[in-house]
Amino acid sequence: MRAEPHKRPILIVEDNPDEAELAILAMRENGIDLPCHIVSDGQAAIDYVLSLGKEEPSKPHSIPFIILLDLKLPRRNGIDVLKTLRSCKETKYIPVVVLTTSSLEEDMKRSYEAGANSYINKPVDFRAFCSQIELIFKYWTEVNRQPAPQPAS
Amino acid sequence: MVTSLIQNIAILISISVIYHFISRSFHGKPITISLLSGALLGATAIIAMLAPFEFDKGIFYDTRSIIIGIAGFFGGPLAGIIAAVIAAAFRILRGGPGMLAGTLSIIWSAFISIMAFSARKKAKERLQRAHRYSNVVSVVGFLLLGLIIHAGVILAQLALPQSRWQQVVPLILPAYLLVYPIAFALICLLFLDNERLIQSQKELAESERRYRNLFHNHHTVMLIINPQTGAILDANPAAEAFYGWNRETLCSMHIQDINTLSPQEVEAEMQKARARKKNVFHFQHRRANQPPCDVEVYSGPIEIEGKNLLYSIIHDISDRVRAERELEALSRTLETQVIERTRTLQEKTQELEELNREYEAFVYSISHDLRAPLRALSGFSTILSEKLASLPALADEGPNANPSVKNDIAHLLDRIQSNARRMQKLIDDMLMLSRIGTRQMHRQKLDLSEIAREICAEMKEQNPDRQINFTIEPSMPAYADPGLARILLANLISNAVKFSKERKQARIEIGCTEYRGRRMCFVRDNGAGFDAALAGGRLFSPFQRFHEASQFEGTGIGLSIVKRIVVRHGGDVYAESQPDQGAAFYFDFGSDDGEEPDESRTT
Repeated sequence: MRAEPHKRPILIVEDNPDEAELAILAMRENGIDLPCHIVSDGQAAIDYVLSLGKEEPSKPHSIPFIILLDLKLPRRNGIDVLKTLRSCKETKYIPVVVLTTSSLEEDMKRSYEAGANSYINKPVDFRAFCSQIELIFKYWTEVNRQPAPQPAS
Repeated sequence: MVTSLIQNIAILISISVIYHFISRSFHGKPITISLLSGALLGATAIIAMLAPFEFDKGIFYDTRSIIIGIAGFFGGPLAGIIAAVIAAAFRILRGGPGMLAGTLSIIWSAFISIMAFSARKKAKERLQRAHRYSNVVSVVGFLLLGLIIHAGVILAQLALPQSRWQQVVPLILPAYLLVYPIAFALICLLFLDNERLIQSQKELAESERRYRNLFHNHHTVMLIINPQTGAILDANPAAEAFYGWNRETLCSMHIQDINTLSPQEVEAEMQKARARKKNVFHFQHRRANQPPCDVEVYSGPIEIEGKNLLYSIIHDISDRVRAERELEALSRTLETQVIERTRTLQEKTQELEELNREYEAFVYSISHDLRAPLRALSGFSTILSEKLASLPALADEGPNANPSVKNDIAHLLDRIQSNARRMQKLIDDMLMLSRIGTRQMHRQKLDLSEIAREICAEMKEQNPDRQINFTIEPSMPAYADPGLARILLANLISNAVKFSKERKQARIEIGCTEYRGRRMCFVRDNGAGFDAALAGGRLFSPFQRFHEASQFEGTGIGLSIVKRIVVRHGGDVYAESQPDQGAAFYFDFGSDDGEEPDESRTT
């Protein structure tokens, strides 16, 4: 079970390809070598998550190990995505890290109310960003324990 | 002799009746009265002289002295003289040895009584001036006057031949000194009584006349009402003019016909006026040819000819009532306007709130959208410069190795990164500035010294290689929003630190002092300073810089933030500086009453 999460992908919900690339670069810098799935709008994220239940039972590993979620997204915003994730049996327990440039108190509150596990304010400085990513992954892979994914039976 | 005296007195009494008939009939014509009464009394004296006590031929005694005395004392000089002249003429006509004595008696009687009349008149006038009223006479006075007159008459007998007066005087003395004065006094009392009656009738007539004048000639509307029935008993010309009915018509009406209240209500109000419980009323009165009029009625009981009646003084107050109504209407209109304005204001407030929300959304958008490209710029250039740094070992080995090109690239990447940092700071400061204008403010008592100490400690930590000497006043109480106060102090102190960086030993002082007549806090440094006069009003405007960016980095927003914070508190900020002489910033948080200042003052 310990090694299990590492085989599952990371879901990045981010509309700005530069931002997505920076996140992946920061992960690679820290030696995190997991497959990344990128969706670029809120609706796509919801569609992706809802389709997971319909996946073949032989592919339980497609359920993301962690989701990095931006708040300001086209079509459906990050909060909507969070709510959908939390209401869906398959994705209820997946850690969601809100990764945003917004430092508004209001956004922070709404995120936690919708069920976010973490809220990270992305710094401009790339080195600072790298160390944040390192900390997040260390925590979710090495410190935290979570139940096994629940694919639709 | 006594018989003739009684006869004479009887005549006098009947004459007194005629005398008073004359006085009443010719009231207001004193000369006629004097003439007539003088003649009448003169005639009476003749009658008296026709039935005398005859002592001897040509010598006779009668009551002429009493009659002339009465004429003089009650009728006055004119009546007295007329009566005396008539009597004396008759006596002279009769002739005889007693002619001179008889005539002298008449003259004496007239003289003394006229003197007494004048003395009484003067005494009366004196008393009147002192506002005391009296007839100034008494029985004793009358007796005394009678005695003086008749003592004179006895003395007049000396004009008779000596043999005669020696016989006569002892004979008439008892009657003249005792009976005649008493008779005189009695008749005087009779006349006095009549005089009093006439006087009181005169006074009554006068007061009646005054009342009539007051009632009929006054321009105020007045009515006399029977309080039992409400019947109008009298109305003055002003009332005729006001109501439009003549006096006869009004006197055939009842007050209930005029008052617009119900008869029962009018009855109740009349009883209040009668009992003096209330004397000012507000009614509406009907009029002949005009619509009912608002009136103010003063009413109260009055006794006329022994009857308890009600007087009413009526004032037309329609103008006043109209003015009051207009005022009321005006205030209603005003109220409507106020409601209308309030509504408009509420709408505007809503609009403003809407705008504020839009503004906040815009700010949010900036915070998110501007930062993303900046992050990409910064991130990719960082990766690039790191990649470049890992190149040299390989590149130096090549034939075209050129270390200076690599250095140039590294330098340019550095420039990109430092600009990205600057832009980030700019965005952060702009967000701060906008949020200060919109965020809720919660004032409380706080100690600025404590906040300043914390900020200075941070500054020392951030600038470990600098020599900065902070001096902070131990206690600086203020009434302000703690978050905003911290931002303000942080801005001023970091400015002081920044602009004193070229000093070997930077000195920064934070304290309180009297400035421009107020107690103000200050932050002072010994740094580069600036020309405060040249900077003027622009000093606290956004994006104003007074040093080259290469010399002191900064966004030019810090002092705008400071200004906005003090303005939101209702305070002020001032700068004092000379180039190279350091700078001092003075500020306060307005009055300590805790009220939010007018937001329109926000610059």
